[in-house]
Amino acid sequence: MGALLTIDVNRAYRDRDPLDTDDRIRRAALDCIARFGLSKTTIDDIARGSGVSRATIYRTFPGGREVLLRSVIVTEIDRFFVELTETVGALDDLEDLVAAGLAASLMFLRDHEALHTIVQMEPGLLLPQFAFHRLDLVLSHAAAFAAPHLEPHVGSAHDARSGAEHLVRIVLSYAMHPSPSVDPSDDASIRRLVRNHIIPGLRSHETARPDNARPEKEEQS
Amino acid sequence: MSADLHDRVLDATFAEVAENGFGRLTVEAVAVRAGSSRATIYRHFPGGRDELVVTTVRREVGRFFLALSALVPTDGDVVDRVVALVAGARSLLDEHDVLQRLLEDEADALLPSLSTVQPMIQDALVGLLRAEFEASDLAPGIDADVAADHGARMVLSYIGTAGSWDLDDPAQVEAVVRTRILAGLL
Repeated sequence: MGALLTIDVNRAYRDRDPLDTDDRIRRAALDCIARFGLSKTTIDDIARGSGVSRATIYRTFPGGREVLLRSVIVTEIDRFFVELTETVGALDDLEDLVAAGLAASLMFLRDHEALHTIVQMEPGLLLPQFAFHRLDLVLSHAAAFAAPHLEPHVGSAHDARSGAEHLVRIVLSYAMHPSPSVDPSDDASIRRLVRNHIIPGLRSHETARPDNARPEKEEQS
Repeated sequence: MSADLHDRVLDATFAEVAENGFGRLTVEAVAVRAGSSRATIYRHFPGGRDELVVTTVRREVGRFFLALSALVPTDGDVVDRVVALVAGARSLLDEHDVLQRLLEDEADALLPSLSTVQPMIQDALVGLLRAEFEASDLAPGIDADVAADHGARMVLSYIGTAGSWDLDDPAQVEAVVRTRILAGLL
């Protein structure tokens, strides 16, 4: 039953746009993860789903399952940031920028089936990366992406970085635990949050830090 | 199950996890430590091991918030009190040796349990903040419920993970409270 569904999805995908073999394999793997979770996804399932032989999968991803799954994860993370860049790239008003970025991030995460399956079935794989000190890594990686977009609006590189980190925290919180009062598909509800609760803090440039706590403080006067 | 035995079973679960971690936790070991039997425990915790863990985590979270409320002063303005809340929560988390060791060694087992009690944690923080906001003069157009919900999320985020901030520095805690947690409210 499930296997039929996969074949259909992949045929539809092929008809629309010829995919490279590695994309087809990744696509099928993502579909398997959405149905079985990460741990239970096997090369056999992926071969069946993609219509690509086991031998070709091993040739395309030397190292096999681990390497392929890693490649799927990296590709999905890339896709997230590419789509986000397309969404916010041309916006030059701070409220538009933050609202569009927040909405796009939340919708991407909300609609990602494989991600949901992992959260539901294998929370121990994912949640530890998004809590306590291990979250520092995610925060700094994602903040590095968002900071350049904020910098023209908030004054200093330092405030941009700290503001970007704050936006990442907001995305993670509302993605993991949706709020009835914040609907990412509803522009008005996102803008209310952004205007009332986020922008005022991003715009208050002097975050009142002692100078010795600002290692990356710019030298210019 | 008497309240006394209920507490003893949860105490035993906590002690077992503290000593041996989640990996080796069994209903049998909890029964022995609590001076009870597997059958009695299953009668009262039909979910067995998982239910013991979640119930124990829930009780720990309740204790955490009780201790936290005691650290928030009754005087001062809303900024002072939220600063005390954030600083107090951070030190309680730091000093919680069992939590810290589990985060180090068994985060994969701990985080799903914490995640199931997330609504309880969120509600407790919302309650604390809503009381503050209702007693304060919020900026026009601000809804105290939305502000408390958003503020609770941000408190939770910053107390769990400091990120680029040094939250042992009181000046930085105050900056986080003013520009991140209470931004736009006052």
